[in-house]
Amino acid sequence: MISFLPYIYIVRDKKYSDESADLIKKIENLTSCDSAFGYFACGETIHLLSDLLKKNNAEYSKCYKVNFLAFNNLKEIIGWELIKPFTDFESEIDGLFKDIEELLEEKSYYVNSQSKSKLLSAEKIIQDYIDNSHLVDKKLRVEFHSKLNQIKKNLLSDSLISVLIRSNDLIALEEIFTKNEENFQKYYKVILERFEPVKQSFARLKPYFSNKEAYSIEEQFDNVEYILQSQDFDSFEEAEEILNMAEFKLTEIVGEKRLVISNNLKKELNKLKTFVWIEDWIVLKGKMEELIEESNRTGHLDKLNFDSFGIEHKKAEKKEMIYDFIKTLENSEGQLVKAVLDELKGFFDKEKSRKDLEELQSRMLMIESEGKANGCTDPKQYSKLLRYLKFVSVIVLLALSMSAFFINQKKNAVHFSAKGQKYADIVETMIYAQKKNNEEINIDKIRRKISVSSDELKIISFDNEVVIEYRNKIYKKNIRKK
Amino acid sequence: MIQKPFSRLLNISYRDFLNQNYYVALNHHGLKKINLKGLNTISKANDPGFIEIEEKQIIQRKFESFDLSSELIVNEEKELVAEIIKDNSFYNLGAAFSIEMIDIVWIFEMSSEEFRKGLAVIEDSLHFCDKADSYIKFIESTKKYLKYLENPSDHRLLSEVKQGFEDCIKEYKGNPFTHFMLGLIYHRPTVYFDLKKSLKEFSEAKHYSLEIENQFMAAMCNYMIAWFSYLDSDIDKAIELSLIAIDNEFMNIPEIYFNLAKYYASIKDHENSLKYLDEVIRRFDFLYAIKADIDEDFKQIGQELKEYFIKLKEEEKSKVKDRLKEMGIIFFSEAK
Repeated sequence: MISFLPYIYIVRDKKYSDESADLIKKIENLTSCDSAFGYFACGETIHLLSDLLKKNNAEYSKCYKVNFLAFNNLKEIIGWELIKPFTDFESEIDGLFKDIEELLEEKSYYVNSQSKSKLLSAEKIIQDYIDNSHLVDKKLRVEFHSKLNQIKKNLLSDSLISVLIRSNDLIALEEIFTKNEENFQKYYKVILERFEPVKQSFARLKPYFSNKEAYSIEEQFDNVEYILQSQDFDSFEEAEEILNMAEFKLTEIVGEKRLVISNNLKKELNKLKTFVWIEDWIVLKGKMEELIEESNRTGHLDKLNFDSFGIEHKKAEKKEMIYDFIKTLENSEGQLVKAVLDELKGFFDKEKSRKDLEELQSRMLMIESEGKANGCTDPKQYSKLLRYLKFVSVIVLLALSMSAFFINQKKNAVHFSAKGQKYADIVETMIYAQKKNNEEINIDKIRRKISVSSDELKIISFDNEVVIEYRNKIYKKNIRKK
Repeated sequence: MIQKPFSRLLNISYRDFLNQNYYVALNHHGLKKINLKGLNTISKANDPGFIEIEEKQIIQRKFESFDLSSELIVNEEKELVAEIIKDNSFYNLGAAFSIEMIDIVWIFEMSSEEFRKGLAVIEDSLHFCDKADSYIKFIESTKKYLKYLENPSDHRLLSEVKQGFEDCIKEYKGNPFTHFMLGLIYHRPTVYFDLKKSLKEFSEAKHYSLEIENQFMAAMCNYMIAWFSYLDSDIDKAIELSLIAIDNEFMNIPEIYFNLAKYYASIKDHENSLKYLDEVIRRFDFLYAIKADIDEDFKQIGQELKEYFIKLKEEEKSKVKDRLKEMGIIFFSEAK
């Protein structure tokens, strides 16, 4: 005798049911003699049955259970009896529900799975209906339609009583409708209208948040989402509170972030004072203050940076102007050049304006014309000054290319390290080849084959391993056995 | 098919037992038992002094011919055993293995990973000592031996094979596989049958297996030497060697466990016997229970064996019930 535990043995599909019954029958036969052999012998069949039921359970869950639960859920959202005459919505949903019911009743997982698309359609129709009718609250929705059902029933009778009752029902229906609309506007709509922008704002600002902060806010959003789906106006007040809290948290965190970012921007801007003309700096400062103000106003942090300020361009502009001026000094009188250059040094570590440079230029021109009038012609002094001038130019150029130099230096280190190891491999290969051919190791011959200069590459030893020095760094490679 | 294993308690000599149980190798890695007519022909071809066997002399070995313990198996279930064995692959003979199949099984097993590793060591050693020819000869002789096993009437071929292995040993005695093959030839019921020589070759094979650290091979040698000790009534030695084999071989040859249980049973040590029988039944093949039930040596512990079957049955029954219950199916008396 066999019995089944319905919460474990969940075979619906006929194909699975038949196969399972065959296997169970086989096990039954094998164990019917109650011998040790019988129990041992049915091991393989039990294994097959277990595999079959596992497969069945997976399909049961995927094709039937999920859809069955979704269907129940939809039926619960409707919650009132669908009776004729149908409203447009009821007519549509009734047809779909009947189809789904039929598909789910079949003893075939394949047919059950086809209910999925119908369920999605039904879900959409119901959601559209809720959105359009504003009947978000389940209790009010059911109340509304139950009352409507009463009216429908009364419509069938044409007695005086039914007319009188109908008018009362209509008043009651209207009251429910009004109550619903008030609640909808008061709770649901308000939250819905606030919720999306807050979520969007958070999505935009998320990169500025720590994981912990982001998680905490997302958790609050989930709670709001959950409440919105609860179809209960009473709990929507709670959603509003949560949303307030989340918004407050968001504002608080954004405020803190903004303060940090603003302070950093101010610090950075202060550092720029000597790198750009002071009048440019003042403009930048103004722009930065505008940005901070805008961020305070909009709550956005993503634009709170110097990206659109063209700072590099402004830095280069100051350098170029100074350099161009230095170039004009080449033909000028030595003592004067020295004095001008001394003054120019200050342009790199002090706040200066374009006007300062222009003044210096005009002062120099003035002195020069006076000097020429006084006849300064010492060639030695000139050449000395020219050399000094060139030296200063080189220094400026060096300063300009300093950063590029450091980057290249790093890249070179990697490049030469790989190259050094490659030379060690080449030398080892050639030594191994000579050894293998029983030749005497001729290191000069090997060295000649490598075109790198002896200053760069030295072969230090080659007993059991090759040791080379390439660009002041040692590289090694074990020599293979013959 | 499960057959009654040889026992010293049977009323037949070992040589006669082997003569009655001839197998031929099939070219698709299988083996087939020869009928009475066939084995008379084969035995005559391999031993001119052979006296034809008559039907009435044949010892019944098929398990179906015996009354088995009812706690273990009932008559209606016997047919099922045949079906289960049919499904077993050759490399998984399990309880269907019998000692007279050893050379066929051994040669087929030589293509296994364990063997290939061992053979590779020998091949390298022989190449190293400039004796590569000896290895080639060994392989050729092994192939010829398989040919002989496919057609065991060709006694000339067996002589050639034997000579080939002997030549290999003359050239290089450190190849355990050659000694093992020669040991198998001496074990066959032919004109060369000589258990002493066979034992000597298996002992040599064991010695050289240990030298090349081939534990699987050493375990097989111990298994064979233990069998010879049993035949020679030296049960203590048979047990000792079987225990060493189990220790060395990492539990892959079920026959070692079964024979050990058999040796213990023959000296009425039921505790140890049932311990190893239980292991071989649970770990390898439950049909060993049937093999034990028809083995003469296990009759020495008949009562305990019966009790063991009852215990085993209850355990398995409980397991089956639990597994089915996990699947939501309730069988037997629980279903109300």
